[in-house]
Amino acid sequence: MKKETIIAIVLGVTFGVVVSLFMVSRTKDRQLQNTKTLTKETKITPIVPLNSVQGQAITITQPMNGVIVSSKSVVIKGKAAKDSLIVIQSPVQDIIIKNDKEEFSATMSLAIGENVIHISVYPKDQQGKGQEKELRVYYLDEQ
Amino acid sequence: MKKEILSFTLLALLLAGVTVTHAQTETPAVTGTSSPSANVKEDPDVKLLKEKVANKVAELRKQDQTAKSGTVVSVKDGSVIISTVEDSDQKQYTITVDGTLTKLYRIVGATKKEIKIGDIKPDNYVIASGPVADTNIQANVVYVDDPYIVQSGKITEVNKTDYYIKVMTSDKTEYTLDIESSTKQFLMNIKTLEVERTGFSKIKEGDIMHFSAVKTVSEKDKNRYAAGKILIVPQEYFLK
Repeated sequence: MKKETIIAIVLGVTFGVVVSLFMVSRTKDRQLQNTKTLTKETKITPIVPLNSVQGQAITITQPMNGVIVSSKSVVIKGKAAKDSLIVIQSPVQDIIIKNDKEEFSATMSLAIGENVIHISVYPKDQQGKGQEKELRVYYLDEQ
Repeated sequence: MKKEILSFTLLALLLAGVTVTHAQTETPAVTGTSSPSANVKEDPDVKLLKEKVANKVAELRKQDQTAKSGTVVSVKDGSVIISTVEDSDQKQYTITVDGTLTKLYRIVGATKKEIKIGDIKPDNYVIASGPVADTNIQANVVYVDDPYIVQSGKITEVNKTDYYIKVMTSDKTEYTLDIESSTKQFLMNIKTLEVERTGFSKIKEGDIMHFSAVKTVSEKDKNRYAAGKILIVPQEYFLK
């Protein structure tokens, strides 16, 4: 085969490759434009705003509601939003704490029999709107 | 109950097995002057096993204990029927009182006084502890006590003529609390968060009030109680 023929074939193949690459990129652009149109429509989807009013829900990890204990006090442990005002009350005692961390803990005195313990959490910047939990702890010296 | 029976059976079988095995192995060594039962009694392994099983039985008994409280509906034939609210549903339990095993007490202040089943009357508030099967409680101990309400809410009215305070809770229930001479009144210091004694004149509408009271039944005013203890969280705390 002549040298000129080989050069012509190589040039032809290169040209073909260049043209095909150009065509592929144009097709992709068109597809992208079409997709963009669709994306504009999806932008209408409402974004759910973060409800900052609700905050972190109060959780009591200890003791379980309805627990029977044989000691005169019980340790109450839980989690609440940081810097909340926490009021733990029973007919026997009132405890007020402010939690630097999410976890809080307090030792509550108990009366013999049923102890209704009401826990109120007032998160910071919520104008006195609180969350509440109620526990019943039974201090029975005889079981 | 089933666990207890199982544990006792296990104990009996184990002891029987150990005794038989021990007796069989010891028999050749036993002389005419010593008895095999004396050797079993002294065996520390058997003693240890007995203690372990007894501890396990005690542990299982403790796990079975549940306490239920409610208002007495009726008392008859050695059983007390109580009505209670569980998960917002009204539910009835039958407390079985065993004449020899169940102990009955009335809580008076910080002490308890032994009573008889005849002393328990309808509308009394009782706490029963013991194994529970469905709606039956095999009571080990029954206490007659005062029911307490412990709540909190925003003060909507302070009546300085009749000395009562109206409070609206977060679930929109309105309570009327009579402030009596025996009512313990406390106020939170907004700077130190210390609980300090206070007077009726310092309480104002808009403050948050935490209260506890004996839950008496009043036909006239359903949510009116004599406050036992109140704790005021001043509204100024939340405006800081």
